[in-house]
Amino acid sequence: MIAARSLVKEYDAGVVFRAVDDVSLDVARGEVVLIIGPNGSGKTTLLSMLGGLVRPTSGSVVVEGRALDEMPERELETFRLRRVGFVFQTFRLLDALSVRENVQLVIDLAGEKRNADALLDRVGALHLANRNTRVLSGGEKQRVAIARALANDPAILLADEPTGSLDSSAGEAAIALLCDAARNDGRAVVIVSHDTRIAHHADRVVRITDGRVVE
Amino acid sequence: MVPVARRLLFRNRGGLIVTVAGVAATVSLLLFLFAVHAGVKDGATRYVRTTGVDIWIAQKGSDNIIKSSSFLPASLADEVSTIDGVAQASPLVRIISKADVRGRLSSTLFLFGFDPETKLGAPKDIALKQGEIVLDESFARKYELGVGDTLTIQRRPFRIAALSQGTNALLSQFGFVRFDDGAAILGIDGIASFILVRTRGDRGDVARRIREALPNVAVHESDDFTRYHDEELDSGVLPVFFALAAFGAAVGGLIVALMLYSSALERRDDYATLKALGAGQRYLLRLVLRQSLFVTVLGCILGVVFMFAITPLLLRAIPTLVLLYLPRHALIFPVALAIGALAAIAPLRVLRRIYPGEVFRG
Repeated sequence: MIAARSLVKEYDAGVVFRAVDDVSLDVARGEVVLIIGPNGSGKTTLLSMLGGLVRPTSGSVVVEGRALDEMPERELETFRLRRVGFVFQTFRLLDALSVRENVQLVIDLAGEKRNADALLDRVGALHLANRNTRVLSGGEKQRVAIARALANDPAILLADEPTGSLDSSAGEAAIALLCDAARNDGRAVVIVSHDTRIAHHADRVVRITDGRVVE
Repeated sequence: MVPVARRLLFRNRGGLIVTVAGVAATVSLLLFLFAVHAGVKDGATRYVRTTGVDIWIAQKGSDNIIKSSSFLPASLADEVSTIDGVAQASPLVRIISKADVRGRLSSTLFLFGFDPETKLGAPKDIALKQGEIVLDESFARKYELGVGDTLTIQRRPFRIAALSQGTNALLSQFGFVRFDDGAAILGIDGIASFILVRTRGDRGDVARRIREALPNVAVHESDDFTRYHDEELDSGVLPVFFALAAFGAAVGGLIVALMLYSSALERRDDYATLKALGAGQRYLLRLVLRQSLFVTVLGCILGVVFMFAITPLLLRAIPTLVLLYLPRHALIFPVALAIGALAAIAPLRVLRRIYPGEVFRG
């Protein structure tokens, strides 16, 4: 499903800084891969490249047989819209919209005719549908964020520190929902975290330090 | 479809209210300017249009009663009367003067002295006696005068016999006296400003005959004479009104642009999230365009409502003000929408520079 080869990402801020250094990674359909590493190790940059948000300096990312680095910007946007679901540490829900509208927005953007309520029901947040996202707890927000990430029926689900802003039980629930999306729907799920407590949920754990895979 | 554009706008209620109020104020200003312009034109030309004169004879080079001087011998009316097709011809004298109202000097009056027998040039069918005046209604209201009151012009007292309407050109209003009273105010006997003609038969033929008989005067058929007034007013006033309107429109557009620009900066996180989720630059352009048009339409509606609501108050506060709303003034709305659409360009640079990877920052 995802095949990353020799990924390198360098940033030039006067001095060239290599955030990701020669990383190769494969993620199969239905697999949950946990990328673990300390802050600043390059795991979020790696996740950004897998999701087509950031272009690698060198190397390639192939998702479902399509090379992201060869796609023009508009095609990459369409790819993100239709094939990738993102879950962020700080949820990134639009507080101008209700819970239902946050999920419906992605369905609209993807040009699909799905029902936001079914997704909210799946993550146990249907009762929150008409609420504004500002009044939700962290756990509730993450449930809604996961429903939103599933709204475009993505092939790959990328989660950045999904438990970072949650207490342990809410964090467990969020990880369970992500694993469910992999095992029941056949999506490739990549979770980036420095929380080793969730390692037992993953099919595979990749450790990254200073931009390099260490084991 | 989720109304994202509107929802994001309503997240900043204060900014939205100020912007809509700004657009409303701009639309009100534009409506006001165009209504004043139409009112001035109507006021300045209605007398010429409705006084029942077929042909206006003036001094060569003079083609309007407002902004050009004209001196003719009053006896020319007798000569014109003999021309075939002329039913009536009589002199009209114009004097520009202030009046003394209860010891206070008034604003300028355009005073017309007409022949009381033919009544050519009279604002209404009235038998005016010596020492009487027909006064513009708005002028009378401005100085709290009514029928029966007296005002003094060049030390001559005039009793107000009636009030006239459609004789207000904003900067000056019209008054009407008998020709002999006009001549007395002027202090020169036998002088007319215009010779007014009522025709029998074809007006064009009569005008041609007058031109042949009197080659040294200007002979204007009433339609042409009205058009000259329109052109004269447009050439003097219209550029100023358009400059004011353009400034107003620019200010309105900048208000909308500023709101959209600051909203793009304030909601940067939301736009970054939308980009990360796959919303492209086109989607974001459509979004800010919708916001801009929403604000503009709301502002237009409020502007119109506001203007119509305060019009009676304005007319009461400024008696000589003439506001005339015409169907063509509705053109303000497509222009406002076009400016609103242009304003949507302002935040594009900010939106283009938002990097979707920002979503990963805490």
